[in-house]
Amino acid sequence: MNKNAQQLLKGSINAVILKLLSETERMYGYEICQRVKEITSGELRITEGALYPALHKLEGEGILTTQTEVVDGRARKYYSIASNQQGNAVDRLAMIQNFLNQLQLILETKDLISIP
Amino acid sequence: MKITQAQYFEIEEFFTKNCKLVETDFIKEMTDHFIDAIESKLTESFPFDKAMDLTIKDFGGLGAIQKMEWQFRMGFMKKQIRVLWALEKSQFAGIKLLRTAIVSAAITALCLYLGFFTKNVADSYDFLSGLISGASIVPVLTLPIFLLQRYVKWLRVFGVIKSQMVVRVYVTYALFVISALSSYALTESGFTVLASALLNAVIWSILSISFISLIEYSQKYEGNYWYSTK
Repeated sequence: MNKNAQQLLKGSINAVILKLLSETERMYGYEICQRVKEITSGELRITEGALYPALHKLEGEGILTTQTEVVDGRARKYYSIASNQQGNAVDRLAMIQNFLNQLQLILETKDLISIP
Repeated sequence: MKITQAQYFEIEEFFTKNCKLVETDFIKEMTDHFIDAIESKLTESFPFDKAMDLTIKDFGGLGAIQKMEWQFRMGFMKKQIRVLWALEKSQFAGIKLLRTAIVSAAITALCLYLGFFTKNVADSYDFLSGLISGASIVPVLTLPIFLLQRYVKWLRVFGVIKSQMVVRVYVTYALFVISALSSYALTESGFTVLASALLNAVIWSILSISFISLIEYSQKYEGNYWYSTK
């Protein structure tokens, strides 16, 4: 796995979490890691050390809500976007989308490989 | 491939004994993740110990897990304050409203009685200030134990202090101090006896209702925590 790509992913972890949760009703930590791995065919991997602090921060801010269920005899904590925060999540994703569009505009002006 | 019960306990012991984690919610979440990750590695024919080591490495090692618990606490405490506020608001709705009305009426009657029939108000405040000073030992001791319990073994001799307890202790003490100071300021401000008694009734009613919320909070979020960690 590319370490630089890993760093870029770390910076966008909130966006990844919100995007995945907006597509699914609820997810748990391990599932999010696996889903990212699956979508990127193993090219990118969210580290647990980055995922959980981000999840807990979003939960603390009230953007995510949690639900604990017993699965296979152990507690499993599911995260979902809080019903009153759907708009906030959409705004955050739109902001990141806009940033990526701007970044793309800059990167597309010249072929990066031909830097003198 | 499923892990055995002994392996399950080994994972839990890693968190409670090796990492010295104390936050039950965090331990449960990490245990669930570890089990999923280890079971996935077991299906790839790794032995349990190797699978466990690899999973610990994925998390960045023992120190990184301990750091994650601190980060968890920050978000968790914010959430707990929101929970407490929701509980406080719930005292003014539904069936709880009746209890709130009874408590407020009783406190109003007591404040009116004390306002009209008690002469030595200053003595009451001497007693109150003594009580506040004495009670401050609890928050003063709670915080260092909470911060140092991972590093100083004997501090855990009576159990562990979790975020919920810190929130409860500090909110209780803050409410108590604010109420006592407001009440004292009110007495000194020269209101009529009736006005002073009614305003005191408002202050102490809010405090009492907040205490009821704190008891509900404690029942809901602290039940069996000490036991389950031990």
